[in-house]
Amino acid sequence: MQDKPTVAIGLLSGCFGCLTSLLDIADDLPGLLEKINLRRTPFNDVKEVEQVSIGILEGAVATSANVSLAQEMRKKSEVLIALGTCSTFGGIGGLRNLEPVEKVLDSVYKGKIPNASDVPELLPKVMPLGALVPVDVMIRGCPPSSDDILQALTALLSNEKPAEYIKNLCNQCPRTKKNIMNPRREFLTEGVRAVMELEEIDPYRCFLEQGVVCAGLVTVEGCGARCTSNNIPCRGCYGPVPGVHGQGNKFVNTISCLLPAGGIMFHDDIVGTGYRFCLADDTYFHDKEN
Amino acid sequence: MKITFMVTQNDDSIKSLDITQLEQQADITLRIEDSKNGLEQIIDTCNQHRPDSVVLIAKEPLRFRDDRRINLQNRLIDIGMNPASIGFVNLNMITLCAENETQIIERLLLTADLAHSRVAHGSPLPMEQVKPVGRCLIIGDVNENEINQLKEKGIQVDTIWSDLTAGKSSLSVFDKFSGLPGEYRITLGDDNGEKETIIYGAVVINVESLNEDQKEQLAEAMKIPLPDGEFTLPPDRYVLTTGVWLINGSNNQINGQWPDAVSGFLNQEVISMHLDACNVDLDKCSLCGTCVKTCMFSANSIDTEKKEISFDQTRCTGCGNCVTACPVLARDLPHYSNSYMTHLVGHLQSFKDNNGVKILALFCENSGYKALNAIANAGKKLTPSYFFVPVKCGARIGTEIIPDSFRAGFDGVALLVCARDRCNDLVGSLDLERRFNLYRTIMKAQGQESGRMRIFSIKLDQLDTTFKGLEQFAEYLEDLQEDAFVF
Repeated sequence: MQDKPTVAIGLLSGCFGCLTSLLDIADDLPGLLEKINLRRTPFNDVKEVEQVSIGILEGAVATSANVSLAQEMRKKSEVLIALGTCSTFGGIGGLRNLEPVEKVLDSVYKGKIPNASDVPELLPKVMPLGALVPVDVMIRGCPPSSDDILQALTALLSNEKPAEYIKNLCNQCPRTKKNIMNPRREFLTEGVRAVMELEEIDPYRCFLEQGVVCAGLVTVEGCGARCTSNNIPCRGCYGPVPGVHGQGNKFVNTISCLLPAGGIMFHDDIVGTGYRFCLADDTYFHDKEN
Repeated sequence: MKITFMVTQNDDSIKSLDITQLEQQADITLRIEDSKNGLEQIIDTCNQHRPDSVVLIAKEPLRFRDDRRINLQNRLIDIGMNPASIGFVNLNMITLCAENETQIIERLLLTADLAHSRVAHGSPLPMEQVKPVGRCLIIGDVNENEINQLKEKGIQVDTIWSDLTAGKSSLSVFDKFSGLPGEYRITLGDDNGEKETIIYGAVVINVESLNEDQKEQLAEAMKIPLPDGEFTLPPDRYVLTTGVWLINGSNNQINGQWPDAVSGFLNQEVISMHLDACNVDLDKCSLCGTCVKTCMFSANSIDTEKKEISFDQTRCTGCGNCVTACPVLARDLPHYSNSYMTHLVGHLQSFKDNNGVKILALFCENSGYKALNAIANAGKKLTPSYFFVPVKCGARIGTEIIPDSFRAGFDGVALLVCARDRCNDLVGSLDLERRFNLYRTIMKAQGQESGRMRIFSIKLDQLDTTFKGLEQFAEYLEDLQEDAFVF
């Protein structure tokens, strides 16, 4: 019992989705549990943080309580895993960085902001785990697929480095491209449309060539193109390809040569397109570098 | 090893500068007062020390088609240095916006540091060697004795669209153009649709004698930018690219002389050239097609069936449009690498706020460089808020430069690029505008003043507009309220 690697799991500002995906390993879960010794987890309600071999954190760092838990877990984990996009890039919650924290609170509580001393304070900006403490392994996705989690954990338990993807989603996407392979000054389509505005979606053709904004170009592969094979354009939850300096900026650099920017600008949520999952990461990019 | 050369020439204000700090930056720093002997001094020093990077600081070291620069570069290549390891700093860009000696030195240090770091982050240019083919294609009218001059030197001559007939003159369609100087592969066709690919060492074009349809065929096949939709050429340009000469009736300087230039070029034993083309990392390439779509020179093609990308480096002009667009960083430029562009602003963090605001001004090596240089030569001064940094082409600038600059304490970003129709890289300025205008919307959504980024589309005959625009931009930023700078 003592020889098995110990594992602790913590929840920062997340939605429990990634941990649900962890439980979703389902059939392989008993086998996995036999190989490890679970300590502090939200499942068994053990709160005390002790020295472990593998620490797993879901969620972004958004409150003072997140900061202390993340720092303690880092100190006591030999290997620290950032699980899911909130933890790796800030995630959806990172979009609150668009507004000052006071405005965010006001818009939620309409002037009646609770002021109890045991409610952790919101940080001025949401940040990914990596902006606060060094992270050893990143498992991307909102949520990550159970397969990805299982593979990463299995690799770690046999002292191997989990696989890292370096290509974009187009590599896994089954849709075919035609127009983009033709060097022309004109855009791929005359206008940009949301998927529901299309009378008919060609299920076998690249979304971009149908004038639909798809973030697959600037998103790393690994998810197996679950969305695009089901007629839903990629929203970029796996984050940028490693080394890319800001997923949103890369998206602008790439998409504005392909589709009419004028059309993209009329999208209701221009920041949410491209920066949806990585806004917090873009904000902190430089602090990480230095 | 790093070496910095500073050519002071006859400029007293530069001669008297205390460059002690500059000397600390490189392993060797040499002050060169006389540019004639200086050239030998530079070559000797480089030959002796074989440095990893050489930076030449001088007034106008990068001047377009400057003989001294080409001479220096060729001499350095002769002793075995790679062009990618040579950096240039134009003193004009420093004195243009520095008010006193302290500011000049501060800028000199930062600019020279950037130039060295550009070399350090870059990669060597690959060298190609070509034995030139002794055959020349003449497009349009020329004098008979000019053709005879070529023939006397043993060069086979073909003409098309010409009133003189030589060689393959029956051909009337210009279909494809590719290859390297000395061995251009040109596909010509006749009226019946028969096509033939011939290898030519050189091409001579008399633009004035061609009709619109012929110009269009040429422009399409050779990917020549057509300013204002017309095949007009700058008056000082006789060479389109190495091995392709441009002549016309009213241009006396080149008439009668070009046969010597062409035969001299073709009679070389071997032509060595460094290709300033982008690098492609096949391991990373995901075959998404972005580079194919963005390259107006058709250097890329993807076979979707075989899942293969092919890249023709002889077609690549090294503009960097595909590098900026590539979503997986599978492409990189030897001169302006991804890692240099990422770290560029970080190098400038120590740049002092001299007049209340700091402005990062990126200029393209074509119109941007010429415009600033001309403004400086005209004796005009800009506020010390500006810091000028060269970039290959507008196409190489990605939008991440904006948040980077703001985080590094810059209040504004100015982008000085060719007007759309004057860009040598066809869509460099167009794609820059597309990118940054889309990013402007994102700046607004993030609560930033989108006017803090300004694009200057430069027309070289309207430099006053550019100069006034730069002055106004600085004033605009000074007037912006403090809270506009919250990031």
